[in-house]
Amino acid sequence: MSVIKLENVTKNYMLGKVTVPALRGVDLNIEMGDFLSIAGPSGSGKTTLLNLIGCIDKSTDGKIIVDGHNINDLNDRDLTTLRHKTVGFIFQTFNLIPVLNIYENVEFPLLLGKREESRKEQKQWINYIIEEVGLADRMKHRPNELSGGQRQRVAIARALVTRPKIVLADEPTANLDSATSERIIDLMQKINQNEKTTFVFSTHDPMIAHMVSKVIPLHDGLIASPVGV
Amino acid sequence: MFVLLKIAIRNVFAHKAKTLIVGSLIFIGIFLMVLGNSFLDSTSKGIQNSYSKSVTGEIAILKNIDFDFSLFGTWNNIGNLSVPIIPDLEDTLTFLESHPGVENVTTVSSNILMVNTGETSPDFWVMGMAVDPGSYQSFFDITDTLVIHEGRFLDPGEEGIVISRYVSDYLLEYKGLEVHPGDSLLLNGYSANGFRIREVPIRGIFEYEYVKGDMYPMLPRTCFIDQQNFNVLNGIVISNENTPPPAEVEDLLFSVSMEDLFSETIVEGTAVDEVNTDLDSLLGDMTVRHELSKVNSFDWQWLLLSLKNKDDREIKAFREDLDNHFSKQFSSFEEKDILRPIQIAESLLDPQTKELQYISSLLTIEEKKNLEDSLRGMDKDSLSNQISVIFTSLLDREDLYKEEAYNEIFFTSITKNLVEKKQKDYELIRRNRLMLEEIYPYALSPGPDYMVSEWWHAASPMSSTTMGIQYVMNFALIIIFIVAIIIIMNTLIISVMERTGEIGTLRAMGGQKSFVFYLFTAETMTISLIFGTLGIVAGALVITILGNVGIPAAEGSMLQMIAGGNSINPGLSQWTILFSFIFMLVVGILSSIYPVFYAMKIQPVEAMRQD
Repeated sequence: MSVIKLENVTKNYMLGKVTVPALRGVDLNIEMGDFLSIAGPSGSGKTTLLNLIGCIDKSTDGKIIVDGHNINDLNDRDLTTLRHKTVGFIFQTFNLIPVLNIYENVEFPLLLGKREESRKEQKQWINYIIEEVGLADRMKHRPNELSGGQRQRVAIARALVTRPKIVLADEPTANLDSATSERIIDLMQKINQNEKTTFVFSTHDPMIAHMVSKVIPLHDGLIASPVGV
Repeated sequence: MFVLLKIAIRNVFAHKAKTLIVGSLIFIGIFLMVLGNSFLDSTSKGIQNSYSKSVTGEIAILKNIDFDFSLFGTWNNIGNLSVPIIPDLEDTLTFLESHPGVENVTTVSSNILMVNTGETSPDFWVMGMAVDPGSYQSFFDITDTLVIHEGRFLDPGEEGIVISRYVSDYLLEYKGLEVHPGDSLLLNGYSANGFRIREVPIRGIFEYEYVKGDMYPMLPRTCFIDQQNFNVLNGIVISNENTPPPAEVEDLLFSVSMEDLFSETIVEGTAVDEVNTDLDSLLGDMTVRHELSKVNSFDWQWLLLSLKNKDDREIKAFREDLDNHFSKQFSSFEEKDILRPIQIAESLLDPQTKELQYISSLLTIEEKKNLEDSLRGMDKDSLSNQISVIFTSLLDREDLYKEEAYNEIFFTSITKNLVEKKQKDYELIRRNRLMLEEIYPYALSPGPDYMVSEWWHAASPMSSTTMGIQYVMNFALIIIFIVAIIIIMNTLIISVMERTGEIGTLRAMGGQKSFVFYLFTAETMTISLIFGTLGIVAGALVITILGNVGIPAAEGSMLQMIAGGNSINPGLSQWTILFSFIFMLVVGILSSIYPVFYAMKIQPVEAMRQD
């Protein structure tokens, strides 16, 4: 079942009066439960592609369907709601809220919109995923009291707390050492298998490329032939 | 909602630089405001005390006049005008004395008098304040408000003047005149009725206890004088009023023949070396002179009231009530009522008989006064009827039918309008009102006869200048706050820019724009509330300390007048706190509007930026 579908998507940026094409006609189909990586060198358009999939940016042309919604048809409010319900983000620089402790950071997305679960269910779920990412003993700590790997694990927990269909990770291991990176990817893989959450990474780390089930190679805004397993 | 506040409050502590800059600005602003307002409160109370206790009472009443006025003369570009006497004073006094809100009533008049200091020296002016010694002494409690240096205050019914210490010092220093109680001053008065001179005995030398400062010379030059001398010097005598002099006076005046006045025998009989006749026989019969100098004891310019309740708002309410009372009593017409006499005028203005305007211009002063007297106090309908009766009777008077009556030059455009168009719309009549007023001088707009004002109006320009300080201080405060708002805004914008990634992250995770709005508004308001409250508390603390200790005001200084006593003891009113609190919220809101909208425009994609 397709959860993300891109048809001939282009994205241009304006640099002063010069138009810079970032994506030049991308067709992509991502299935539910995929664990895949968008790979390519700097400036190939990885982050742009991720932004469009994550509904935080709009394409110049083409059609993007996320979880059945054509995102070009949605206004800011509906897009925000769609992001809240469907997409989780993991950032290269973690982007945790510095004044909130670990528990509060993970809980935070739940407070941004209406939820169906009860408060009690939410609490259990938050505790469960914090335990899953191995930070049960750090719940009351602030982000600046944690190491880079720990922070990224908090970010993973935060991305998962709303039970999104898609988790987007923008170079999640770029700021981590290789041992930590491996553990992080392992963790995501485990969640992918347990929760059937779709994971899409952007990376130029060859190690990740070996660990995912599918790699989408991006070159100068175009997808070369996918490398599957 | 709770998470918003939690983040907001924690951010206040997390972003220390921003918090300190914004917070200290708000703290200082609110602190100054509490301080400033408390001082203004107590000083304006002090000024009010000084003047209402010593000079003006709480309410001052005078005849309705169309120029600005004060107890210290009337100052405009024409020069010094005299305030007219209050009409129907006797009835009004009776009414006010029995009024439940009134504590005390007194009457005063004031005008500039010249002190004659010898032929070679130019005259020296003083501010003559005619008082009724009996009611004045109890009204102002002069044992408290005046310091008598020599002699005493005037006694009821007594002739004399009580001069200020400033005047006696001035006379000694600049004119070489040493004066003490028992001496006399030669006073000159100028008025529309001519030049008068009187020799008035000095009874005492005084100084105001509370009202100080020589910024305005009228106050230190104020001298108390009896009504008889004051009124004569200012030409306020019975013979100058519109009523004809009593018959016996008229007889006396006309019994003097031209020959008596100008015959040469008198000149021959008063050769210089033969003057040994006494003064009385030289001046001749003084009866006429005395009759002409008779003063009506109800001729006063000002009625001063002290009220039982001296609260600002109560004084204002009392003034308005009294104003209404007098307006109802004396004003027979409002603008819409003009129509009625105009209709009468129209009916009278038959195209064939165009005499009306001519007749009104022929009325003598006496006839006009009679007309006014007969119209006053009537209700509207009987007044209208009366007007038509009077004018109809005038039309019947044969002596008014003269050839000139038909002269075209007397018909103004308005007369023609009225004649040519009997059915006119209201607008036209309204525009013609000014011209119609010539025809109906009394019926059209009699208005209230009295002007009721609060103490500060009667005390101006002195009080208004000191009160003007308030406006200057408020203006300065507003400037400070505008600058503060700009600095706060600037700081907040920088803070928002620094947190672009954080805002983008919030938006990417599903935070709506409104969440960003509430978050940043909550942060600014938290800072405003914390530091504003600290400012209020600090201000209140300082004011309480100052209020207990008191800021001493030097003897005779301007500060003493502002203080209304020997020290300023500022007090904190709940209004100051409330006003500061509201102001604090307004500053918080105003300074965060732009930064908050700037934050709301930040796109979720900013979360991905790495810088």
